[in-house]
Amino acid sequence: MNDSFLDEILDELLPEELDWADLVRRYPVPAVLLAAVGGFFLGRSHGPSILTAASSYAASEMAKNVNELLGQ
Amino acid sequence: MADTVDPRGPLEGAETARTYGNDTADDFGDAAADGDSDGETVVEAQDRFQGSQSRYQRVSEDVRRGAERARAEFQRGSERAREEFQRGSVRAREGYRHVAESARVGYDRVRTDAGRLGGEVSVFVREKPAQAVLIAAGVGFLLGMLMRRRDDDYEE
Repeated sequence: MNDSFLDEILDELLPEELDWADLVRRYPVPAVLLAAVGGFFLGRSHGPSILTAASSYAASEMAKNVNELLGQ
Repeated sequence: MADTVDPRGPLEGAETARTYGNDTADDFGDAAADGDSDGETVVEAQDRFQGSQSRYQRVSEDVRRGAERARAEFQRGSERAREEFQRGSVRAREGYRHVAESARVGYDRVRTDAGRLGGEVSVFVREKPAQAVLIAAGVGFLLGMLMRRRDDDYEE
């Protein structure tokens, strides 16, 4: 996956004033652990709803692309 | 002892003893009748006493030898048990040392591998921070969902 695309995702998710890339480079292992713990609790508390939303978004995007491809 | 047991069986032995007793009584009677019974009776009593004494000495000698044999056997057995115990303790000590050495080598190897892996992870994270953070978050997300599902199954 393209690094700039992932950077954009994180830039959108995290506050603008937070220089997350510098923090991660400076503290690599704690940053990775923090991300894993955050993902764990997110999946534990809102896992199914996030998964449903993501799959719905992917389905709508796919339908939009197909429609564009068919010229409708 | 063995020379008093009649090998032909108890009934015939009893019969023999009765006959021998009768014969002995007859002999005593004859000796008394002969007039010189006092001297011969004393001599026979002395002979009998000496025979009993020698028999008693033989029996006591047998008992003494048996006791010595038993003591020697006991000493041999205790010596063998002591050697076996020492050999077992040496074997156990060697086994413990071997296991401890293996554990130490394994721990050192794991520590070295963990340090190398941590270094590689740090390098990867510094090179691609966004990818590393998202991968970690995704793995944590999947684990959280799996744990949630398992907890729901237990609650049902």
